[in-house]
Amino acid sequence: MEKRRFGKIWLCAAILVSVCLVAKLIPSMARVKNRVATEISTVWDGSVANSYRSGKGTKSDPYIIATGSELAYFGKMLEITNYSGTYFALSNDILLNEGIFSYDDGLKYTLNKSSFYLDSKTGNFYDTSDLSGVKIGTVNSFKTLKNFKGHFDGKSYTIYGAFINGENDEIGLFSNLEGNITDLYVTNASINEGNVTGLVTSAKNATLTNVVFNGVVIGKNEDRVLDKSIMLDDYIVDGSANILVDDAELRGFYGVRNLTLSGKCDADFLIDGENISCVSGQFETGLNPLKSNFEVASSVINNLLELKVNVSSVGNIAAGIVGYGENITLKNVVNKAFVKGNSEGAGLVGVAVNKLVISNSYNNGNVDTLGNHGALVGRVYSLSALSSINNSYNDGDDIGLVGMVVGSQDYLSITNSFDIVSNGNLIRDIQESVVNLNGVYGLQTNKYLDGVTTGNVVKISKAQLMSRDYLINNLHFSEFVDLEDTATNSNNVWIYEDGYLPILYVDDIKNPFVTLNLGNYSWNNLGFDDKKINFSSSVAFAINDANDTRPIKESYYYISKSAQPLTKTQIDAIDTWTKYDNIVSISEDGFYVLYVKAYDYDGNEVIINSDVLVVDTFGSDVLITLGERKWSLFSEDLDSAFIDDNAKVEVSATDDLSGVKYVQYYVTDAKLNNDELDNLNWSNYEEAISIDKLGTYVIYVRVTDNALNETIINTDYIIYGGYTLNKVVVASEEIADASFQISSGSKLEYNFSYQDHHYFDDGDHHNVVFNRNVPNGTKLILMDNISKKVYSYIVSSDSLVIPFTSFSVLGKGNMYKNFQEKTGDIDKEDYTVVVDFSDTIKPSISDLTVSIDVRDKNAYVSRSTIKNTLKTLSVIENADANVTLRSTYVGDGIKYNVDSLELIDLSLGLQNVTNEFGIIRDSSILSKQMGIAIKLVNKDGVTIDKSNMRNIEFKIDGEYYSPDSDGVTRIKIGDASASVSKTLMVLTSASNATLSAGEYYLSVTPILAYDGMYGGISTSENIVIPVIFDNALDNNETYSFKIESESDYRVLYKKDGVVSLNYEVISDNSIKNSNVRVMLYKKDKLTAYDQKYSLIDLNDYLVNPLNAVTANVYYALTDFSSGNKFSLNIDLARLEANGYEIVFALYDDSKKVGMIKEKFIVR
Amino acid sequence: MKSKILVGLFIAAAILFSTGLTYSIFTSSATMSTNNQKIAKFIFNAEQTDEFLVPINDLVPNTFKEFEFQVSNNSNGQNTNVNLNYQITIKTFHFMPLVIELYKVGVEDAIMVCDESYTRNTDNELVCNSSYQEMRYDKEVIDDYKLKVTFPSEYNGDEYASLVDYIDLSIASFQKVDK
Repeated sequence: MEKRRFGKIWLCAAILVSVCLVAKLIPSMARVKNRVATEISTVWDGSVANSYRSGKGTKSDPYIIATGSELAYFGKMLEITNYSGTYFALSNDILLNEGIFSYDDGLKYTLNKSSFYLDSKTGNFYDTSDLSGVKIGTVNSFKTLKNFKGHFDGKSYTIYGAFINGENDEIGLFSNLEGNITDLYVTNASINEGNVTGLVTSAKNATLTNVVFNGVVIGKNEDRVLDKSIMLDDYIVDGSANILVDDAELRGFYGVRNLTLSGKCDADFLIDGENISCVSGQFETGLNPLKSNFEVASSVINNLLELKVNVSSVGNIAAGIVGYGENITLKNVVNKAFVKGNSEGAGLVGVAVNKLVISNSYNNGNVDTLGNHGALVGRVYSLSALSSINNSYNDGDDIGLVGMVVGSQDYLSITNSFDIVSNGNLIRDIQESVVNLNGVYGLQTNKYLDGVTTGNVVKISKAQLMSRDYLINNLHFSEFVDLEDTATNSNNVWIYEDGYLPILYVDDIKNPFVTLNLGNYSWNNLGFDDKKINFSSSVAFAINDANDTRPIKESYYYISKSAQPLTKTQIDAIDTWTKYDNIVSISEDGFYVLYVKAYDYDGNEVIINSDVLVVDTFGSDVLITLGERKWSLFSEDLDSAFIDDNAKVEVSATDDLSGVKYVQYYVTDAKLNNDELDNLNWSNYEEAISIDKLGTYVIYVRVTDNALNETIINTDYIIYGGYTLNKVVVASEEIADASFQISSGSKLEYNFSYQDHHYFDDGDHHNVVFNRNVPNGTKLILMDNISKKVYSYIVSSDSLVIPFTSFSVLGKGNMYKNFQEKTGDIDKEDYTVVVDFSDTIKPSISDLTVSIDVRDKNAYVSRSTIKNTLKTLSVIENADANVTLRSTYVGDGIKYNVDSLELIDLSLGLQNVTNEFGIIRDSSILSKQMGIAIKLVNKDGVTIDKSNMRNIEFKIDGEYYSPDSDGVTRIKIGDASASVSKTLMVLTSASNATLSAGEYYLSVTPILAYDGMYGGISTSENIVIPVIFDNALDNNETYSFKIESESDYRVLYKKDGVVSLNYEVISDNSIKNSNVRVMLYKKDKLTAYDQKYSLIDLNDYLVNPLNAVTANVYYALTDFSSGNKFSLNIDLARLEANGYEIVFALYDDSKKVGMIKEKFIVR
Repeated sequence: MKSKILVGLFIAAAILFSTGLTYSIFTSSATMSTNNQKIAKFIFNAEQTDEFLVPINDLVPNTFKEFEFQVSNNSNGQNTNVNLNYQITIKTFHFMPLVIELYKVGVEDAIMVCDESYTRNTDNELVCNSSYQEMRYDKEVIDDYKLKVTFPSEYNGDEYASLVDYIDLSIASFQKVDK
């Protein structure tokens, strides 16, 4: 297994070809770094990207632009936003057109060594100068970047070949700039035909630093006409007054400007001493177009009304760096471009207003303008703050440093600057201004055509101006040391070459005589930047003459093995230079900076160096991590890695040498061959790769380092799957919650299944897995629902993993077979695991999970239970369910010593214990029954002996119940799995009522027990019903009492329908207030062996209902004054064929004194 | 022959058509030698009857009563001219714990013990049907029976006092048609 390298060879070849091509066409971009393009830039195809390369637009993470398309996207976005406060950076040279733009009495385009004539309006180039010949092609036209208010850092990269034209008023790379541009090279640009034309057409409150511009700037060949009317206030002139025109109104009118003032007047008056005639109350006069403040004088009171200033101008601006600048700063800026304008032209700034600061800058370009012009500034106008030009010079055209300074008071200072080409005035015209000159040098003493200065221009020779010592000591053009020094001494920026004017450290070397060549790279001066060039193979360098006319006498080299260039001090301290004889190779990976010290035959010594070379022949270190599993190599022999939960795959890549450029990945479900790998649509890796669906995955990762080495690694098969916990059942209830509680005597069932193909190897074994210890005695039942076999196991150790093979066939003990593992293909498994805590020492267990898994012979888990199907269980001690008993009975109580029937509704229900986490389920209820225990107790709660309960019967659902020997009547009601409601009938009879009157109660208590009667414990409160005594028992008197019937009513027939049963009461006449009450009872069961009768409602069967005493007890006879006879008109048809008992009770008022019962049957 | 006192007369003459053992509807206009459809009768206490009510009201625990009766195919001196099968049916509420046994004279064991293993009808009567008995037509036949009703001694509790019940004996006869 190894890291896979991908296409390194052909890629390097492509690089080689491209670099050579680029090197041929692009003029040397040698500068401090002095190299050709470090990365191949593809010529822009005119397209617009959809996003920036990267970044968030912050200072630490700027938006990155790496191609012409992304630069065009930047332009497109500027149509929507001005990016105020936003940061941008280039990460590569931008190649917008590959040909070379030039101007030779017309715009030209040289492509592949052939020159063509370019139409600046259309971008077409032709083979004839009149642009009517054969159209060879069309250059890529780039749109101006408008209204940018952010920060643009070129990172010392070059925008090459920008062709900008259009119909806009302002044509340039930037227009209306209010931001900052730093470290930018714009080379081989062609900017055409604007009214304001330049690298930056207009800028306000902007700063340009370390900007080098070269190309062709052609302003519109016709003047722009601007016209404007400005209304002024009315003036009452009595003597003199000043008319003020707001300067802001006049700005932008550059070129030849014309001002007129018109309005109403009373009399003639003077403006700046000039007589103005008031004709017919009106006047109109021209004004000094350069002024905005006019003195008005009148000998009489003169009302000057409806004053209007008309301003017009004709002209346009063409400049190298900034066309029209308001409050701008240029530092370390170089113009090398050819500028051709009509009315205002300059090398650096065309028109500057309000405030201007130029330092450490110079113009090398030719400025060809018909109108006003200056090498550094064309026109300084209306300054309102201190402005300066210092440590700057002109080495371009003979047009002076500054064209005009107008209306700027004494705000402008020019110091330590010079013009080495102009023979004329260094400042052409100064109006209404005083310019401060201090250390300004020129070939002539002429400083200005007209105007006022403080200080003079010092005449000096070219030789002196090219003297390093002179420039350093007198003009303070401080020498560049290194970048670190420049960071603190920002004026130490000048590089000196003998015989040449100093150049900025960001500019190109003028006359190298030695070159250091390495592959397609070439350096010819000393640099201190740590920019790196990456090589994916060994390198070799050579030291060559740079100039045939200035050969090297001898040369030496020093290889610094460092990622940082040496400081100048360190370079000066090198004492181990090696004489160079021949090409030197470097084959070992590492960081290198090559230093060359060379001497020419004049004894000149020069030290040059390379950039930081990174020889990185190997790819990156890549690691794919999934939990504890890690992959770092490419493999075609894939194992399986099982996961049972959602997972995240993380990728890390390091490359200590060239660094990681891209990390990409691809997720598939199968192994890929080489062809497939070559054609993958890789995704950029930005965050961990989520696996959140069941399935099989193989993840490929490709890492490209900055040396373009590619490393591909991959994972094994990642198999997300496992057993599914389908359901958990407690007490016949399927648990829906992810976590739940059970009482410690419960048991529960887990059902697991797996339905997919799997090959079981020899040694693979299934296990029941707990995440917590379960107590000894826990009974496990394993049901194999496929093979229909059942096994059992009793936990007897602390092991959390219990192999299925530990389970023995249920009921057959260890002498019979245990669970047998199978090998081979198995497509489906289904197991139920019952965990029974009922025989354990009732533990408490928190957050218990039960799962099953498969492990190989090395105990490595190859399949587990999918985590998100698991449920968490807590086992709670002392939390068995109990039963509750409710009743809505509101009667007076049980009448102990009379015949009575009392109905008591009972509701029994199971009540699970709850805690703060919710319900605690109790599976033991499945094997329990609910019941009630009925006791007759006295006021002290003492149970009454059963011998005193002979007259009391309890009946539920037709069944009679009697007390046990302990006086408690226990009645099983039903399964505890559901609530139940019953009616308890309490029947009492007067006979056998042996208890003396007192305070007694019937106590009904719920029971939850295995038989519903014994052994159960209920925590529910009982129901207490008072037991009351009828007064009859208090009286021991008895009376003779007889009922005689007219006929034998013992057998009655339904078919007889309504019959009249006639009776006569024979009783002791000493009874006063006597009344006879009658009740009807019906035989409960159709058998000879159960002689119980139950009270029914006699009135239901009487044609003439009787008056009720109480429920189902009626007055048969109350008024004996009318006789002792009474009749019961009964509808026999309503009666069921059954046995009955009619009961007559004689009462003395409310005291019963006798009772007679007669049985009969109805057929 | 002098008619005997009849008590509670009716006859159930349910005759059915069927294959095999067939029964035919017996009508007065059929080959009956008499208009009286009563064919087989009880002869109880010298009375011919189809049904009688067994007098059991004075039965007390540890007592029994026996009632003798006959079943005849002759009525008023007239026989049937068909072969008969007859069935004796005992109905009772059985609210008294009586043991009711039916004996055929000449057969040692009771041919029927009417107890609560039999089912009840919609009138809650316990219905005990004996097996079918055959009676040929070609001569006068009289079968002698004895009904024994016993009140067991163990049912001597108060709850068994003053109970009311009945035992009703009836007979049903069917013409038997030979194939």
